[in-house]
Amino acid sequence: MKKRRLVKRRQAGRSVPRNKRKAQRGKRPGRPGRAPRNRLRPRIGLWLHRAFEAGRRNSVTLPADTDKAELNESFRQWSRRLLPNPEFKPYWGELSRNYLEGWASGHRIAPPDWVLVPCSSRISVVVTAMNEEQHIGHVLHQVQRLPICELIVVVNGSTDGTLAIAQACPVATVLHYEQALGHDVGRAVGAELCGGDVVLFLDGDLPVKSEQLIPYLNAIEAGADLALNDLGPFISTFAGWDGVSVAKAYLNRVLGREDLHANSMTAVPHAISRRALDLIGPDALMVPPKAQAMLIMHGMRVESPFSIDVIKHNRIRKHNVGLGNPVSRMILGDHLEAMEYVLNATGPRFVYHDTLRKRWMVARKGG
Amino acid sequence: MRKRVKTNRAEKAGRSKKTKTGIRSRKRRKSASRVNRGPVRIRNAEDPVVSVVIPVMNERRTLAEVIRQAANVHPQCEVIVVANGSKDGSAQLARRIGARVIAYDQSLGHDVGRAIGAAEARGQVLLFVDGDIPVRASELRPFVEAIGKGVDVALNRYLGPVRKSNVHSVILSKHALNWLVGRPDLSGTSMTTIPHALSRRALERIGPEQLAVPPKAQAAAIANGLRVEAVHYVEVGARNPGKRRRRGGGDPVEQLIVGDHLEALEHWVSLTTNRGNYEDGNRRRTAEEKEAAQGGESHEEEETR
Repeated sequence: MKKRRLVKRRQAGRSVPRNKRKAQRGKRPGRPGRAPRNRLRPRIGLWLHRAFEAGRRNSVTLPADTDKAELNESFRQWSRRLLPNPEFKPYWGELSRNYLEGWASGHRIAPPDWVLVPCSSRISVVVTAMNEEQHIGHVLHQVQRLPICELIVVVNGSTDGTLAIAQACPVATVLHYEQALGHDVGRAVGAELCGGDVVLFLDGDLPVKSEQLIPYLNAIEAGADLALNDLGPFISTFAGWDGVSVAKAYLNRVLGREDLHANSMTAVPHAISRRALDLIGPDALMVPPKAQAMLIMHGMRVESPFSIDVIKHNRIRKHNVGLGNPVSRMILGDHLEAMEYVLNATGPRFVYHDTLRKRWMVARKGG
Repeated sequence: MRKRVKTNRAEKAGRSKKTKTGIRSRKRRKSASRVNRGPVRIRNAEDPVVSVVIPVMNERRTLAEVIRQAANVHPQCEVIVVANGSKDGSAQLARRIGARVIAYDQSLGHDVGRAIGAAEARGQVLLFVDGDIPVRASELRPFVEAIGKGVDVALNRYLGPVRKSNVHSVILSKHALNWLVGRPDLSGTSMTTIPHALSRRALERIGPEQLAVPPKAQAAAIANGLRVEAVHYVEVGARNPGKRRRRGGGDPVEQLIVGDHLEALEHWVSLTTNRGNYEDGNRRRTAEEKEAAQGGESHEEEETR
């Protein structure tokens, strides 16, 4: 009798009798054909819904005229458990939007055009611009959606309407230089004025959505000292690399950071912590590869948390295309300056000592 | 064991034994040293035009072929073998063949043999090869011909595996050095790679002791205004026994070569400027220059939120 029941169960599609399945708990296949749900992976949709609910719940304590900083702090309190989990990295923008919508729906108002970040540190943003009247407005608008504490715009050598647009921005501190300061000097000048715990560097010609800037801020909040833009997905195989990429990769490789590939402070956007900025000083930012070498050699934590395609946005100007163009030459010179710094600090071979050769055995023949 | 079986089979089948593996067998015996061609003997010219320098440690298997091919490069040729730390009889073998041998009991380290051989060379053209990679004389002659046409340093066009995102540190170093010293046309070619040739003029300007650190010699050559060019492609990657060895957590030769390139860059920077003759992009670095850039009136608008 028992055998017939067993046979019936097997025919019904269960390969293992019910009492034996207890031993396989944790490995249950669920419905046939479906892969087991990884319990460690969070259910993003559920958390997005929870964000909305949390916002609505908090609308009771946060009135309709709450300013961005307070709202940001409440969002940060709610989401601080999610910050260490890398699974959420692409979804912070949506979490923030849902929270805002929840809060706004609690007051029956339209959700404000803000982007909340799970950061407690004070955020400073430095934007450098020369002649960028086409894009600077968009850049500044996107930056203002974030809960920043100061925004510094360095306008140098501008002959178009960039200055006017920057001055029209209500929260920006505008530094105006009639003549061009040179590459990257604007960053140093802006960084000198900054007081925040995190400094984010942007260029005036690169419109970036605020949501895409969140990972850099999150990385610094999580303890990194330098958060670089990861250009890996946009770069071809080595055979097609230009000199600048080769130099960047070489510097990282020599300093023992092969994982950074060709990522560099030369490119924006990147963010730096207060600790790192105080260590190297704002003037070091004038030569980005050298600043990066200084940070790595002092043991600062350097990461590349996110990828933003700056290459396709790069405006083609007559001085930055072609082999041997002036910008490329300048960046190669910067890398030599960085190498010179590293070698002066340690020795002509850095840490790659030559213990094998007996060089003294070579005598010059005939003088 | 296998060969015996084959001959038995050949006998049984009635095939002729003209070749060891049968006439119709497609298998060819691969042997780097080609022992069947008889003993190798070369003669060094009294007044050589070309000096071929071969640093050797334990390369008995391939040395005879290397020396034979080297001697065929030019009618007025001398072959200098610098044997250092040789325990398998490579030095004796080289002497028997007729090359000029400079022997040392202890290993002197990478590339030091090249420097010693270069100091002893008498030719107008110096050709450097390795004892473990036989290169045909027809592949070596283009280097000698290039020197004859006025090139000072004739390099191998071989780049190594570059069709990947993460290249080997040595390949990256070679490319980076050439970019940073302003010679992107050289791509990833280097005096680290053999074969390459030097003119007498280049040797005198650089000095033979620099050849012990090949990238440094290359940087010195470029800084000295010598004519450095990549002239001919010789495939050396697959045959390099060192490269086939898997890297286990920090290959010491890789670390050595990376350090060599750093030494080369340090030398370059000492011969040029701290930016290696590259422009600074008109940067205003000092506070006075920044003040000057502010122009007549300086605007600093601060609006609080």
